[in-house]
Amino acid sequence: MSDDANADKRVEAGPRGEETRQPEATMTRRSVLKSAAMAGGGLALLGTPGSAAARPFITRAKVTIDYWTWHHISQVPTEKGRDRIKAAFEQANPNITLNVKLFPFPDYLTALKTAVPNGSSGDVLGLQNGALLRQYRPYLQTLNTLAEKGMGKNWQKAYLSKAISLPQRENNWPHKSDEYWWMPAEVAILGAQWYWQDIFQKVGVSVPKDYGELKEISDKLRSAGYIPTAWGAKDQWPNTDYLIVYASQFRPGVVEAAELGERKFTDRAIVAGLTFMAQTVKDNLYNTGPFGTTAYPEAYQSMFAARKAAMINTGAHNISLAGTPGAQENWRAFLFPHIPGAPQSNWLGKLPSGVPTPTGPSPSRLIFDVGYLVSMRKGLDKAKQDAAWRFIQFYVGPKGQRINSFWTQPSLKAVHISGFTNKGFVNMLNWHFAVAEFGERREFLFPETREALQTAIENVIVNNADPRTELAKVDVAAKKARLKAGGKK
Amino acid sequence: MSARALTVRRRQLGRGLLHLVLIVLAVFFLIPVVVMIVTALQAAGQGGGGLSIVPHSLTFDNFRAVWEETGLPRLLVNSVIVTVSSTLLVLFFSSLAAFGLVQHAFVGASVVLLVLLAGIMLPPAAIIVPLYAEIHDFGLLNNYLGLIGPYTALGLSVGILFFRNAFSAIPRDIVRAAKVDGASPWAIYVRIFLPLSLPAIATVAILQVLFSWNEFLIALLVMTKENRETAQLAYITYAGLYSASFEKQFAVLALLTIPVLLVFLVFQRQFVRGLTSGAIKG
Amino acid sequence: MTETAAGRRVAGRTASRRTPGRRRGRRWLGLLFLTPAAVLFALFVAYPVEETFRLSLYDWDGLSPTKAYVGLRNFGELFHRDPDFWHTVRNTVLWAAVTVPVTILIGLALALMLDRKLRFRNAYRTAFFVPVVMSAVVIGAVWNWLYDPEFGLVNEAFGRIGLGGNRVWLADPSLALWSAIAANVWRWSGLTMLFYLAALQSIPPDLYQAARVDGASEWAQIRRITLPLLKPMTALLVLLGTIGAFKEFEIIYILTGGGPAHATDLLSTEIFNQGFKLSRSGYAAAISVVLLVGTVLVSLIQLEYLSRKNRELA
Repeated sequence: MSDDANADKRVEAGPRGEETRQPEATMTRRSVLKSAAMAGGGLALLGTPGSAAARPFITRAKVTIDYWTWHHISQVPTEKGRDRIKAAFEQANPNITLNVKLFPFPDYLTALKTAVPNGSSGDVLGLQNGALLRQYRPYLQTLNTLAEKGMGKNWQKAYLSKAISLPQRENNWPHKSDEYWWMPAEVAILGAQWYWQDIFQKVGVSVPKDYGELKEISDKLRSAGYIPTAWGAKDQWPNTDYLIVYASQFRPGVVEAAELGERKFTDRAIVAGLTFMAQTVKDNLYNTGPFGTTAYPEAYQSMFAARKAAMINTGAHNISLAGTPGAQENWRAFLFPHIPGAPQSNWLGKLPSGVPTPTGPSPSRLIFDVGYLVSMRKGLDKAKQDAAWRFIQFYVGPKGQRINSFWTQPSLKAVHISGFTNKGFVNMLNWHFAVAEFGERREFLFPETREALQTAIENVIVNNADPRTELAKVDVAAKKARLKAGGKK
Repeated sequence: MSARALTVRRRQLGRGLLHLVLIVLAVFFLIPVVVMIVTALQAAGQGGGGLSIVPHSLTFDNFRAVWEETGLPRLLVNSVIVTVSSTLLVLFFSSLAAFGLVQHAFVGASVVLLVLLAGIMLPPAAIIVPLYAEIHDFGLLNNYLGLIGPYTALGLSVGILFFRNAFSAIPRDIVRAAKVDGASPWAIYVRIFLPLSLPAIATVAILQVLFSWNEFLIALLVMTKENRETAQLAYITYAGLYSASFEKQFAVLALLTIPVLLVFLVFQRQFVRGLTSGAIKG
Repeated sequence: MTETAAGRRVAGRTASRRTPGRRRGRRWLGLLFLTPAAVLFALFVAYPVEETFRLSLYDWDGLSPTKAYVGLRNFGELFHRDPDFWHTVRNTVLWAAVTVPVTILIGLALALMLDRKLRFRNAYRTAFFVPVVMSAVVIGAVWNWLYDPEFGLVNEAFGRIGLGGNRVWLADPSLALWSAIAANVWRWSGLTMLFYLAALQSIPPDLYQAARVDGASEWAQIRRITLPLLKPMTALLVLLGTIGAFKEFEIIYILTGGGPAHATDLLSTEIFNQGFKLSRSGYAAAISVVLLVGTVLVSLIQLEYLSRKNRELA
């Protein structure tokens, strides 16, 4: 029924795929099909009693909303498929049924691309900053009024400031805007070296104070039969993470500036970062053939969580694996030590104290992103829109974020982690959240730029290509992407 | 040793060698399957773990759990409906079409064949955007026909090819004799062509069952309501981006392999039966 | 005698005789038999393909209500300015050129071995067929693990027999494509075996009888009788195998993602990347056109061979 209703709504939302040439000939067959479908839908609508449009008291009627995502609480191994979010939300809103539809991420891109323009996507969508939110903007509902009504006029203040400012900047570039067609649900601080402290004890190594020591303990760990640091380079996203950590040591903010055209990818800092990255591979810090290893499930689970690797460079992402036996007692973190050749910097001094396990002076910076946002489809009828907003407010508000706070990092200032008992582990996680706003920007505005950078990293490390030559190609791709998006250069 | 005993010995040795080779090959082919099953038998919910070939704990809990947590019974029913329907339709329509091509051969039959094959030369990702829009416009989202239609259409090419092959091998004399005796084309189709092409029927059926049962992308996009999802979609519950329970993922996928294997085992016998009754024995 | 009897049995129910003048009606009947298949095919196959062809002439991100017509510019960019295109074509051809013959040879060998009275024959047959039945997700995950440079069985086995156990199967540019091909061959050999088993069933046993009476060895029988009679099936498998190999996507995407640095990109992975990761639907459609035209050309050659073989045997 809802699909037929949507067929009607589509006329308002705008037809799909109108070309600039020969519109009649192309549309004929599909228009006939569409009319037939709509006629059938209209008849069905007439014949169905109690459709939402007919009821006067909208909030009392039973409504069903569809929520599409690739990333949900039910997927956490310790949850055993349970959906606590759905249970809690439906209990608080007995007239609303929430259907959660999960997708594997690559297929999610396909699902969005096919369903959203046809008006048959979920009512609430999980999305990412940058490409996804920019592309689908014409199809997403502006949420300003709903947010102000539901959460107060200054609702933004309740969130980490970067959880608001980063998406605002990225999703509107090169323009600025006060429009919200997204709500920030999660952030992630990453780039720290997590390690098993019992393995360190057993092998007799301690947290390194500089890069030289990191190399030493890596050798010792390897001799003892462990992988020093697990790296799943095949999945590609850890690679740009590493590059941003290293490059930002030489010049903070350089990768973001390069993407936006304020600097170049051939900037000395990025070249230095990429060169250092290749050096770490030669220095044998990682599993053999990291580019043949996936981040998930191999590096994160088969290696680190399975105690075959002693360290992994991560952060908030690893919380969802903290149900692993021994994790709370033994997982601790330190910052990647200072990179040889990079300027000294006391950036850490500005942070809340209590770095979990101190490393040496001028350690590497962390990275930060607003990893998950939710939006609402345009064109929902009043009842559905009301219900959809209720869910969004639940999910990104304190109630939902508290439920999720045992496996993701909340975007609200007031919500902290929960569900863990080991003091050392809790302190470590709290520290991660306290420094949340201090990380380098991790996500990319344009997928073309990100893809080009990932190819450059692979060419340099796997094929021994020259870093500067490869980064020059990234500049070309980045410029093309900026111009296409309306930037000036 | 007598010459006779020598031949017997040689044959036994040959047999033994054959078995050895086959066993080695079978092991090689089955290792990944063993990994899948062993992993599915590991205790889940630990977060870590990893795949293994040697089990360190054995439990059927995963199978039991996924059966309930994913609503697998309902999903299996949906898969069966879609698979059986599209298979029957493919068998019927493609054999009918092949019959038309072979019996009433006209100019351009090769072109028809080429067009049929051209239709299936692209990966699903290439055509999914217009295909989805079309299914949506027909109002067939979350409708069994929304899958049965495309699955059948995509299976016709291979079906027609196989049936055309099988039908061309049937001797003209039988057909001519039947025509002389006044048989209608339908009768010729049902009583001569179909019974003589049982191997083709079995082959096409297996191919279509395989395709429909394992198809993922179109099913994922078309069936978005839980009560219509097909079985292949069940494992997503356990496939997170930053963590997963792949003991349970594999349990789901192992369960999904069994029905098709059963179909295969059943149809295997059809081959043999086809052998004894299908040849030109009269 | 037998044939007329059979014919009479078939015709038993029909009342009247057909006159020769009705032959034109038969032609229409032939077309009628084609109709259900033709309608379904036109709807769900021909239309999307035709749309894809049309799309290749536009610059479109797959979402916005307007498309920009650019004519053949996508193709121009593909052939002249895309640094990876020709490499991708080479990969695709290599992928098919190795997968198809090897899968067929292995399937043939398995079928020949199993085409006899043999204890556990059903068990062997099932064992070889199981990979065909498994879904790509499991196959990809397991082979990723088997090929893992640190813990995979492959490296462990190679290490034990002294061939060196630290290769990076799926990320060494010189090894990655071959490793993926091996997994692909493993997956499909059981299917070609099945086809050959079916074809072997339809070879009359009398032929072998005669040869055995003449004292021919098993090898000679295979060479002189079996193989020639299997030529049509082989040609069919080559045709279908090539089509399947050219469009294969899932297994390579899961194993290598087309990497590292596009080293194992196939046309099918490029279509996905351009269409859904980079949102260039028109460009992706152009690649699809190239893939389809290429496959058609190759198939034409193979189809011609197939018809010739059919005519020889009929």
